[in-house]
Amino acid sequence: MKREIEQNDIEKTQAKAIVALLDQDLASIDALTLSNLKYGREKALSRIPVNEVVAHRGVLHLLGAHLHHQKRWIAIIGLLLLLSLLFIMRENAQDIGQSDAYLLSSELPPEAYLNEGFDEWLSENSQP
Amino acid sequence: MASRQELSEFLTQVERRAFRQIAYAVRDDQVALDIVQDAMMKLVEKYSARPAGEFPMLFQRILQNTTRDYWRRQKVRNMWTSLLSSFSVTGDDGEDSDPLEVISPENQDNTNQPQAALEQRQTMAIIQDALQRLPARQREAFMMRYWEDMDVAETAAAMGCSQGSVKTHCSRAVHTLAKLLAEHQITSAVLTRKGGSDEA
Repeated sequence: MKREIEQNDIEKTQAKAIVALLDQDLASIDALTLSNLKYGREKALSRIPVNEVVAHRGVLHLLGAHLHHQKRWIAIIGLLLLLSLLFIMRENAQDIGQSDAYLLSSELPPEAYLNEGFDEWLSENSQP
Repeated sequence: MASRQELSEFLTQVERRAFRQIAYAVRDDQVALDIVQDAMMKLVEKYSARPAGEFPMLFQRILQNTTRDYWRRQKVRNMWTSLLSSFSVTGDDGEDSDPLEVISPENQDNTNQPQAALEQRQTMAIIQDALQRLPARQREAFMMRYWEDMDVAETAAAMGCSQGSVKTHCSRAVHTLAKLLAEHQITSAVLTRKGGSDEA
């Protein structure tokens, strides 16, 4: 056990000595490379998602904070279209239901409304 | 959530070491620059909302993955190149692309003492050569654990392996490095003296 600890200490000492030299050698990186690294860093930082903060707050968070700005708008528009479609379908279903109820509760059978002779009879008899 | 300032400070702090680390792996400074830049962008775009404390591990992981992607692309490219070159007459051009020639360090004189500067350059060249000769996983573990000063758990998370594997990789890396350096009469004492004296 003691030997293992000593071995670990030796390894760490060797590693730190190598790393110290590597750190020193960082100073020898040429100016062009440093400039390229700086350019890369600034380019990367310019890509910080702007809506990151907004997405974590408010109702939009429910839609998924990970969505990007454009994707979120597409999702919202899609949701509105879906709601509109459901509303129209519901209205149509109500109209059909009302028509069915009127026909079934009417004194005349539904076939009477399809009969051309019935229309003529109705127009003749309804005049005073 | 980390601020832009924290992200900027982190990248400034690690970019040089990351560049060197990848340059040891790919042996091409231009490719190393591309990989580091790519990794910085991925970190900012995907993980800028994470706490600053997670950046070292995330950045190392991205670096390793981006480097592996590069190797995969190289493998495919080399396959096609060798396939196509088998149909053409071999010229002298192939002799110019010995990767070991890229190893020579781009040192500059930081000191007024030519002898000391020369020794320093030679030692660094040997260390860099030894690092490049390490197996990839050992080099990654060594760099993260000792150069980036990440703990065993963080290194394991970044490498996607167990903590035991990290310890083994690190131990083997140090042994291999010590052995390779000893072949050039560079012992721990010499290393410590050089590292310590120049730091002072």
